[in-house]
Amino acid sequence: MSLVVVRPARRRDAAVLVEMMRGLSQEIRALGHKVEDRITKEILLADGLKRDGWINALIAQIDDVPAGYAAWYRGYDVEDAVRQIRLADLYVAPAGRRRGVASALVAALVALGRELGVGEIVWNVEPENAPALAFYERIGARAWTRNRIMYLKLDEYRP
Amino acid sequence: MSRVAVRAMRRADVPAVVRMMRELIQHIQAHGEPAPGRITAAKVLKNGFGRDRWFGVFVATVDGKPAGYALHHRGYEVDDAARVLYLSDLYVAPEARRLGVGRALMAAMAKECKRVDALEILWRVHSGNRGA
Repeated sequence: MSLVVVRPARRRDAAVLVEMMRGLSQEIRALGHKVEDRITKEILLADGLKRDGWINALIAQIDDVPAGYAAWYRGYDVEDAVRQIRLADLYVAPAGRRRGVASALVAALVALGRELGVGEIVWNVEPENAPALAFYERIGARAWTRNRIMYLKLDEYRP
Repeated sequence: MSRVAVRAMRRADVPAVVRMMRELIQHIQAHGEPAPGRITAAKVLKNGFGRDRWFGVFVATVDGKPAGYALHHRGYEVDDAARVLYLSDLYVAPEARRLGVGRALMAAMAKECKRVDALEILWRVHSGNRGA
């Protein structure tokens, strides 16, 4: 059986990441939402994938083939006084679907969050995306659907 | 006449900033949102300074006295390939209201946006806050 491996994206992953980012944009566009396609390898390298960058990523692979990614940046919530991982994108490439890639990416985000002293992972949801909501609730996340926000307290994570 | 000024938070500002953060949390609690209020000076010192900081703060002063703050952190819009700044808190102390403190803090945010080449400032509004 092929194992899903997740690791922090490095600078040489930029081209592969941009390809998957565009794949995500295409799928969002196919659902009738307006989405841009401005990301390029050059911009991604200028803005992220480095210390003190604006955007970071984890990359999932199956047998060394890219299968998905999670893009994130830092946030902070003063009310709860906790560091946050703000999840910008969570994407599983078509070839990686139904093989546990999303679960592996979330597990890696939780591990990274614990390493960084993070209290919660926060992201936006489309309230009409029922399969995504079901997945998020299964892993212990809670919806604040009024604002289309989903948050996973690390101590409520269910692997 | 009172003079409003804005600057990046200094270590010496932390006690005043924490006091204002707690005032804001109390205000939010009064509107029925759960807000445990666990922020401390140690947490602000640890997370609000240095190259690897988790947030930045602008402090507004009126005649040199802390009168408000704006807390922000970085974000990124992947499809737009754009740097953005999130404005998490915008607070003006009660005694300093209607002096242009909020406006001065927003101007500092806009200037910071330009400085770091960010596209926009994003924030959320409590729907009951009509004054904002």
